[in-house]
Amino acid sequence: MDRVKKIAGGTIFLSGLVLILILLSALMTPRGEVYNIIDVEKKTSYFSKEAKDTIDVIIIGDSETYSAFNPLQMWKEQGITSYVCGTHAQRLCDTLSILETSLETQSPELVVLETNCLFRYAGVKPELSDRTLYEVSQYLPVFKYHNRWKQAFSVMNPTEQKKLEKEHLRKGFKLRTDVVPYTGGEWMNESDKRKAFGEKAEEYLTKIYELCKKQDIELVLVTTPAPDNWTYAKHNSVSDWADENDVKYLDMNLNVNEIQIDWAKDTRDGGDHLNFTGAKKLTAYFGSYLKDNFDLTDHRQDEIYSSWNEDLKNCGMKF
Amino acid sequence: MSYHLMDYFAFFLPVVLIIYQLVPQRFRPVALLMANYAFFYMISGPLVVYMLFSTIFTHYIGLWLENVSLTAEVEGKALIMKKRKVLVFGIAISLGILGVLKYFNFFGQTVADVLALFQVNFVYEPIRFMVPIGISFYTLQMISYITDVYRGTQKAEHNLLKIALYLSFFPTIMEGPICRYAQVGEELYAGRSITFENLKFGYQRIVWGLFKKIVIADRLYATVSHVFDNYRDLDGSVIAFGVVCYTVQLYMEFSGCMDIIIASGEIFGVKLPENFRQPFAAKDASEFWRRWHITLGTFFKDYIFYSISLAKPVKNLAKKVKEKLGRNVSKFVGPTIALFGVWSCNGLWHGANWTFIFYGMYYFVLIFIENITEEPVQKLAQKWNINRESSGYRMFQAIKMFFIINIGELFFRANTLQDGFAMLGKIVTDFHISELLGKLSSLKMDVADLVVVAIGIVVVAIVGSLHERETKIREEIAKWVLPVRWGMWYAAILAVIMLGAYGTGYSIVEMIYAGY
Amino acid sequence: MNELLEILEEIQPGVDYENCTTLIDDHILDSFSILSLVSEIEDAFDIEVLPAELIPENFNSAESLWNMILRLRGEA
Repeated sequence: MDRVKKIAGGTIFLSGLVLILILLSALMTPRGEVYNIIDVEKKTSYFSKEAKDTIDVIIIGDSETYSAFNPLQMWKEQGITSYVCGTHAQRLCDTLSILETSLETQSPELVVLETNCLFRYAGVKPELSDRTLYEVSQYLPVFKYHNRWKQAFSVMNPTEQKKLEKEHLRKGFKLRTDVVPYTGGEWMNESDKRKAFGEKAEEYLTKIYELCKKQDIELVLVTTPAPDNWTYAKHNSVSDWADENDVKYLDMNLNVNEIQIDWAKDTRDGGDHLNFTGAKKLTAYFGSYLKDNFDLTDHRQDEIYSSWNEDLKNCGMKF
Repeated sequence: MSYHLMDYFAFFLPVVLIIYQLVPQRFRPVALLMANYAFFYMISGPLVVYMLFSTIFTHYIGLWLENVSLTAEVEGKALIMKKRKVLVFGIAISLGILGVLKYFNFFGQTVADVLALFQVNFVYEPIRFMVPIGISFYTLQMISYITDVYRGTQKAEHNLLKIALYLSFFPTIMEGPICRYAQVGEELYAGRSITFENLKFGYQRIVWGLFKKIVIADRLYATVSHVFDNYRDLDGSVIAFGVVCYTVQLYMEFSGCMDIIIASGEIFGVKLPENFRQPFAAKDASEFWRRWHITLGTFFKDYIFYSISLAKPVKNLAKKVKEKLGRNVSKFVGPTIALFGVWSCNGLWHGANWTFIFYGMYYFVLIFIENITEEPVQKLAQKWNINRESSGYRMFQAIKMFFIINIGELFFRANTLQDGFAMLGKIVTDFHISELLGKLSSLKMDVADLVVVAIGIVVVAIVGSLHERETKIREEIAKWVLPVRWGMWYAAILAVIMLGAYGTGYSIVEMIYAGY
Repeated sequence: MNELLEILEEIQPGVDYENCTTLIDDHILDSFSILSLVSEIEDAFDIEVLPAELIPENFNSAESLWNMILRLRGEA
């Protein structure tokens, strides 16, 4: 009898535990696969503060995006409303997740995808150092997303909070003025080589493409000038995909002279990312490219968009 | 494979437990041995042959020592000399394997460095040795068994299976505790059934160990590596913070894994010796080492400290000193020489690196000072009417120990000895607390991490003070009414799952700050 | 026996050696005092104490110490 009681007790205890974990999983799981849940949620929570249906261009990708594209400058020069939804070392599964959430509040004309993230692993890699944990987390995602509670604490860090507010005011652009020159030579020597996309990247790129198509949004691929990470082989692979799917592709590594990038001054880390002066040149170029190639409305005279002029005054940047 | 991974406590251990329980009692030792070797093989692959050899060798030396005693035609001194030869052979081979695998390159490089001082050009090419898992630990177990048989405190074991189980028990293979044959030999072989109580209490302690390891220690990892690798660019206050973080990390990590290990033994009905007893409550350095990595300390005490201090040459030296300088000096001779031996071994055992040797010498000097100042301090205290049991004095000792322990761990963790001194120098000469407060949330930990670590430390401290009062916490909780008891264990398990610094979520945090 | 108690008192004063049976278990004698004790009794009783004798069972009380001394004397 005692034995039965013990076994019953143990079973009920464990069943209760599993039940709690199932409930927590339901609570903690984002839709779809997400790699960096903390960054994704930070980005979407700020982006959702933008007035409904006011953003015409969503720029998305990894750190290249927020280093190179300055939406307020484009506002000033072309009257285009854009927002940078890029996050650090973004994987394409996170790109998709941010886009899905973004499209709930905005209906942009264009989605501009920076291509550097195509060459990164696109999903959540199976954790090989602890197979059991990985397998269990497939059924109980709380093991994957348990760290989401930490977000609640970010309000407790005023410095961090201020930084994020500022970034939001600049529509996702990160102001960096450090200068570390790029001293290498030409990096875009023409060749026929192809560099394969990261694992699962094409699968996610197709999903992003289809999502845009369904919502009647045009997808554009762009590459920012970055001698440190870009090659002609990568250019070729992106070109191939763009041609196949009839998507516009702009590789600005081929236009650095036109953009007048000065590698002695315009990069903050020796040619991986542009700094503020680099971004200024690039944004001027990219803004006119958008103006010339797409049918985007100039909202500068529109009363509804007056807050953009306020932001321009308060952004602490001069163009 | 590692004890804090689900692969271990949610897969390997349960599978072994089920098989063990299903097998008839007389086959259980064999089942356990197979589990041990499977575990060893998963980590070290074919290097399992080292374990096989060591097992057979240890068994054989035991029998040989017994045989010498039984068949000896000589008695007394001559017999001891004969046995001693076997002992020396046994220890030499055990240590020889360990020495070649772990220290060969260190000595090679040291020889090259010394020759360089004399302008001799000799380049040492390091050899890559494959080191089997746990060799530092099971080698000490071999030595303790052989020595005990030699001393006659342990009967030579005839059953090879028992020796094999003793040297390879899978929960202890990776990081101890260093067991004596007399402690665990029979229990490992008994093949006792797993009881519901042992299973329950065992897994409860595993949860506790995981809390220390995953929730606290792993959370500090990024900060600690950052500080020790980049101390040149950091303020002394930040370095000091990083050092304290390391001490906490090391304790939580080692003692947390030890909880998991001892709990695993408990489930099999094997009582493994404890390795930690609230080390931060120690009042001096020698007590610290009776509370920190206890089984290593007692190993050194029983097999090195006593052996050296009771050795003939040491005793003779002490006698000579006594004749010349009197008892008050001579009584320190034996223990000091022995102490030097112990701490040289302690330093070297941790690894072939000058930082570890310095760490050993650091504690040698500290404990030596404690020994010779004990009497004068006692007299002074009496003269000045200081109560050494008062809370004020205890507070003073606690603060003293805080500095002693952390400075020790600084050198223990420093990348090189020079780095260690440079870090200590910066802490002393370049210390601005405002720097630390300003940077606190950008030191690879966010506010959430700091809060969790702080709460975690408080919880561990409370549990520690209960242990200090010899409260049996799990037994006490078992007496609570069911809803409270279950609620408490659910909370504990969920705390580990939700607050644990593991999985993709956590590596993300590292990467974010690595990018800045 | 009295001689032994005197030695003990000299090494670590203020302990009730006649009745205490946990000299080691309660850390009343640490390894340092054990060694002083050994060297004293070796001289006083003309015996040799080997490392193997340094186990708690021999050192936990004055009585067990005395028994060890008698045994070693008999062997010598």
